Amino acid sequence: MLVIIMVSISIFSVHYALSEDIGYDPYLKFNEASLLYSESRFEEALKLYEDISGRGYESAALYYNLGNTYLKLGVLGKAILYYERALRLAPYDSDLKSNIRYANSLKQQPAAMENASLWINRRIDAVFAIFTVDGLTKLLSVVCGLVFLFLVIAVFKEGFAHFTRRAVITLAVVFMVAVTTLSFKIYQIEYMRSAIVLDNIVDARYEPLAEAPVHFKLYEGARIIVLKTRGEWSQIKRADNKIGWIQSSSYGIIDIN
Amino acid sequence: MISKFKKFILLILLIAITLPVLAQQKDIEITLDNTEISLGASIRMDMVFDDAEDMPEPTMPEIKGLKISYLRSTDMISRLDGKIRRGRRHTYLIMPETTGVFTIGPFDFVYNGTEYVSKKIGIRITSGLSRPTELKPETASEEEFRAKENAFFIMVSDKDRVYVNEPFQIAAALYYKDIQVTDIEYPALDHEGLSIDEFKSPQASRKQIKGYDYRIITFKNTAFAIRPGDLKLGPAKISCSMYAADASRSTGLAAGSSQKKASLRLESTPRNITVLPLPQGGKPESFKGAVGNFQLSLDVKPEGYIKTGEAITLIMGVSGNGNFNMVSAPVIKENQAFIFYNPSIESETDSYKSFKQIIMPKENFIKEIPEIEFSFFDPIKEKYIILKKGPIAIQVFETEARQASTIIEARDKTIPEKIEQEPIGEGIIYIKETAGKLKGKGLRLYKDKTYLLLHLMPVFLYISIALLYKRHKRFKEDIRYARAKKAQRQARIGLKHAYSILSSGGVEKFYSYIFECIQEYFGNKFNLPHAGITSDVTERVLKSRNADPSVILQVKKFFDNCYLVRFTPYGYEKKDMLDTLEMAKMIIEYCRKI
Repeated sequence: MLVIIMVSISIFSVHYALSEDIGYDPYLKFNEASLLYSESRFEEALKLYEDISGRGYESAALYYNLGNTYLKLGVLGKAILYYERALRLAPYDSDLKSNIRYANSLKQQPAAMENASLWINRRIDAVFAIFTVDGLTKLLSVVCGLVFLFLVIAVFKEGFAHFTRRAVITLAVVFMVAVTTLSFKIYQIEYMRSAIVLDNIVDARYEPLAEAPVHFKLYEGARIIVLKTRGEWSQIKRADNKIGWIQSSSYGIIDIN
Repeated sequence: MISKFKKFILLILLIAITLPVLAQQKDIEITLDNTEISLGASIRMDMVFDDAEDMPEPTMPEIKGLKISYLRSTDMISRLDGKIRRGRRHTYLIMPETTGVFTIGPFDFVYNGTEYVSKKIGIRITSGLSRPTELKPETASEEEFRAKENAFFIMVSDKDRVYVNEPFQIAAALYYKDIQVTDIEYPALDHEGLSIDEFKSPQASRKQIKGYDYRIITFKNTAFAIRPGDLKLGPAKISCSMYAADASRSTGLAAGSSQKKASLRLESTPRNITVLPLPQGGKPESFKGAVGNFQLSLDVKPEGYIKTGEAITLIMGVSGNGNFNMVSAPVIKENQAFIFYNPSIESETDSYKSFKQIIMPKENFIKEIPEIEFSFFDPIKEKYIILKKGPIAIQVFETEARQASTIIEARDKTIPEKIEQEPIGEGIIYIKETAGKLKGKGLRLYKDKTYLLLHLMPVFLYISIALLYKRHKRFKEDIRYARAKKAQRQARIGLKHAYSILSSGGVEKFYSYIFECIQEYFGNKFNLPHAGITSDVTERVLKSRNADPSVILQVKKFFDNCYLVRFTPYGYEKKDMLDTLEMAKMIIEYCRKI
């Protein structure tokens, strides 16, 4: 079964590879951009990295390098946005965590505002942040494979029935936890729509109107949740649960569907 | 023995002498309405002496720094645990003459042979403002003007002529006497053109005004004007509940305890504030609206090696007196060799505000961190003041790998001192040199239907394997079942072979083979020994299975034909053999179903 899963994953990899641009080598372009970065030619490096991203490619390393390049150019909001995107793909990368911590320290937003959510919510987020969506999906496949394996063993080796029952129950628990976590992450991607403020200072207004009174201010790099969009305006929620309307162009969504 | 006896007698005598003394000693119940007040305020002290209804005013000892005045004495009757308690309450007013910590008591009075003893209580006298009278001299006249009222509310400010953004103090005070006041709400204040903070926690005090003992609840606040002109502050309004003696329900001993509750809303007279605009002449470019008297400090981190592209943190502190709401980050002179990030507020108190500014050197030739500047308007000197710090000198030198710079403390720029320290700093970790697996944006396995459908495969596989294994196991364990299954397959093969014999024309061989084939089929199908299968046996078996009588006849006929051909194998043509083969097929097909 594991072999079947691995073969299937390889098939999908080939499927993705086939959809890539003919004659365009993103890996080569990535190396070129990294070379430009190492020569402190950040604007040129940025163009190449953005080109790769613009053609529909993504990887944790690409987003990480985009974050670094934007930070070098003093564009804090974009830097944090790309770091957050990289974090979705590589939540265990220590370099990335370090750079995010550093970029966050440059924010104007008071740290207390970022940590305004409940302690328990932050703990849950921290636990779920360890896994990637694809990682969890593969984990579920492996769990399914192992359950199948143990059931087949139980058919042929009746003496192992007791052991098999325990193993299957354990795997079922792992399965349930993984399914819950995956569901939460999918919910985050599909419905919560986390975003990062890109403009220096953004006025969040009571209504989606330019002349509406300002409710509160958002600073570059602040994390928000986009609740709904109406024309050029989006209703957003800050970490302290304050809700207001801002221009849709002033933020970037972290999860790309 | 005699010695022990003497000790015992002495002990008895000691107890006998001490007991009456102890029996005549009583505690004084002493209470203060406040233990921490400001200079100018007063404390009311009540002393209750049990069983001393006629006790005259006790003479209080002098306490240096405090003036203790006798107010009055009242009879005290109360019921505690079903027992009536009687006594005398003596009330004093303590007025501090200086600041400090004082101890009230312990007191020791003797009345009618009973010794009354009190505990000691500490009080603290501070120098802070606690009454509006200290803010404005004319408040005293307003207090005296309204002195007969049971409750009134006044509001004062420490200045009536201020500049835009210049902070000033407001105090609103509730005065009351002969009533109890509860549920006091924070005052509400009309303040068009003025910015006002929330009122701080109130302070309680007492004061004698024209011989009346008033309790005072004071609320303090800070305000500043946001536009010039003649502005009106107030009126301030306050709501609370009051308890006053209900004369209609007062009877005898309960007179003091019968009270009526009513809501009380009081309003102060408004104050006029003249607000002057800030002068335009001499206004510095770096001025952002700060008004007061401030000092500037600068702290630079890290103090070790700095590489190009690494961050330098400037902590710019502004301290002093003034309007900190309007204090913005000090201005740094533009310099193309640095990346400047927006400053953020690091910490903020009533007298200090600091800003964190991150700058990042882009070039190796940088010699100094630019100068920072902070300007404000001093309302006392009535002029703008500019404060500067820096520039901070940086010495650049080559290292083995790359150029690095060391930050030098800039207080004395004449001889830069090189600081040899471990490299400590903030910065970002270098880019990733390999792209990793580049894949399509938003492509996630959970969205791939084919991938998800693949998960059904193990289910089907498991079902198939389980069924096959079950069948295999039955074949091995259930001979009847195994033979029945085998019968059908063997009959099919046998009939094919019989047809090939028929085609070659061997009559005897054909009938002999097909007879054995059917015999073996019945043997396997009904789990009987092959050799014992005869026409009678098959008839009995088929009847037991309620087979069709016509089929039973056909089977009988088949067996008879086969027997006959064995003995007289002449006169049989191919057609007869085909009929026999068809009959055999029909028998097998019929038996398959039963």
